Amino acid sequence: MDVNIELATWSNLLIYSAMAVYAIAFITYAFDLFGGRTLKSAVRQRQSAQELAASSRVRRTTRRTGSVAVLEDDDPRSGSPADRHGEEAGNADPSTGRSRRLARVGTSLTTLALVLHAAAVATRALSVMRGPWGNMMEYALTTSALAVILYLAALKYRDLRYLGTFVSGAVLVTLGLCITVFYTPAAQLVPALQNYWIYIHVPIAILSTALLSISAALAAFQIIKAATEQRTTPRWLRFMDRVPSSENIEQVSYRIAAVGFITWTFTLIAGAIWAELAWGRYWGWDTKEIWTFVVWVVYAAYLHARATRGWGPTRVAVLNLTGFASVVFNFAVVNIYFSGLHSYSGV
Amino acid sequence: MAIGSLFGYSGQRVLVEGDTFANSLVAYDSFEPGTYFDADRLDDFRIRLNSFESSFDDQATGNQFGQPRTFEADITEFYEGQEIRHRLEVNQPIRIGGTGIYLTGNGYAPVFTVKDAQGTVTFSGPVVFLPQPEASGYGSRGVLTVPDAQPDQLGFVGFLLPTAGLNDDGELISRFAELHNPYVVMSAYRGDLGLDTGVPQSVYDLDADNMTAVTDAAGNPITLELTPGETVQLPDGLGSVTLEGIDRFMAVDIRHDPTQGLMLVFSILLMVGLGLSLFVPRRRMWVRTNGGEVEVAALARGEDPRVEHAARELAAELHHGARNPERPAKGH
Repeated sequence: MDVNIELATWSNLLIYSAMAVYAIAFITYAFDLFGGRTLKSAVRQRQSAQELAASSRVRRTTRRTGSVAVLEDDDPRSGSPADRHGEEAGNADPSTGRSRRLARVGTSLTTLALVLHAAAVATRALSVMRGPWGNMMEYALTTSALAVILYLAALKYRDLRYLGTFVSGAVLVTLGLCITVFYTPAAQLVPALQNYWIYIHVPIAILSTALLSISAALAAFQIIKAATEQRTTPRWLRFMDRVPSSENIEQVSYRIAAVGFITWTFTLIAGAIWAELAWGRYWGWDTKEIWTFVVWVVYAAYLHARATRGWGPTRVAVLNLTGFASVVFNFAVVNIYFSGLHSYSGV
Repeated sequence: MAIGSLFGYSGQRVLVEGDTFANSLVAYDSFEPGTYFDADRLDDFRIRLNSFESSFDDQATGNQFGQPRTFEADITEFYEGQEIRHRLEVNQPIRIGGTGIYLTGNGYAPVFTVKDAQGTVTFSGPVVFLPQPEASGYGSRGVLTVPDAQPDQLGFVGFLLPTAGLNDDGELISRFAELHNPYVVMSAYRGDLGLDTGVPQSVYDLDADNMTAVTDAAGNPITLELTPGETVQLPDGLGSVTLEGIDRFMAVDIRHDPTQGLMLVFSILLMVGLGLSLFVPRRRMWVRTNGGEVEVAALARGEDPRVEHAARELAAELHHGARNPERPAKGH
């Protein structure tokens, strides 16, 4: 029953500090995404010119009917025309790269905020000498930290900095909730959670939630981008020109969701095994168990709809967002308002 | 899953310290068998609750204060001629034969002695008081029925506060789940308990239809207030009630599901299959010669970002093989 109060206090202070830096990162990213005076008519012309040049070389049909690549000579172009446009448009900026510098600043600030955030998680864990996921506050704290880590890691492979505004904003809100609504003092665990399974079931759940949240953020961008691709962009959505094509975004969103789905399945199974140990049955239609299953079904529907013809990418992305809404519901509402075996909210 | 439910069972039992439970149908407080479950297949064991210990957090602050930290039941198991000592905890069930015993609840059982006006003992023993969810600090409610009381049968509805205190509104509540200031408040009834009618009653509810409240000289219903060791005299020569002490009880779930292991195997297979279906690409590749020209094509089933790369690899291999007919190309 020994709790290091000093470390717990440090943890709270670090959360506040991380929130401050995330706030600045959010504003910086917002300027990167929405700023830039000369809007993208110049870039549009460049795009259509490249399209003509590229289509004579490689013919590639869309994903919907399966990928077909027919190579007719021995120096093919790499990547899809749409891909290249997105990245070039993002990099070539009329205002001499000013906003991309903002993106770099935003990323650095996010990294700094993450260091503070991770320190908050670590000090909280050390103050009670157990994994930092024993109640809603700690869970949200850890999941948001992991989401930022995943985002920053993904930046090494693709320029996803258009997500930066959303990621820093969402994490800021989550941390705010942690320190207010979800807040509970650092303490030991109730007996039902005192088992090694908490180091298996919960971390995988945290990983799943983080992955699915990034995938949902991408799906949201995909829908907006698809809307701008269909018709001439309204003025207030011009910032979307900086963002890669909706097909590109969709691919990333899908791959992350697929991994998140596997880990979610594992969460469900690990939870069932632990439930047998703690409550005597591996499935009891407890509220949380049901909602975890609902999330699973929605994401399964999303993956299935994507593989089937007839579901356009926008409709599929809506399924992704519905799945994520269920994840949020599972966490925020079920923990607090439904009393069941799983209510370890600490609230 | 369905087979497991059909052939398994789930039962519950509340056991006070010192009591023994023998695994037979009559001993259960509640029992839900599967349709094809046969009572002869109950494992033959007995368990005795030697003692129950718990601890609650009195160091934490805020809403963590008073939260439970440990629940431990000291159990002796009697099975197949052997006596084995167990420590039963929430995440540590006892497995006997094919049966699992899981700790799912606990509470307090005040021990009462009721005597009639002549001093004859008409009731002696613990009464299980169930912790009420809306009450703090294990505030528990229970019913004490004394069918052998003279001249009238007696019934008491009691509330136990393990650590009695006043809250900000001046109401009597329990501040903490451990017995730091135990206090029992009871209302009393006399008359016919209704136990002879043959209709089953819950031991946690008092059927006061044929009873009246016990009143004092002024005609007001009495309220008994007891601390451990105290005796209260009842008016009208009804006798006395003594609170001897307060025991603990544990509640266990006893379950048997024969298909559990299989479920685990199948769910793992499900997960592996899922991973394979999502991440292993299936492709068809074609090579077509057209005079001196060679065409390579690849078709993927659904989304496959690397299909172009695969086609290009094959083309490069063929290219390499065409240029160097003596040396075989890498791979196949």
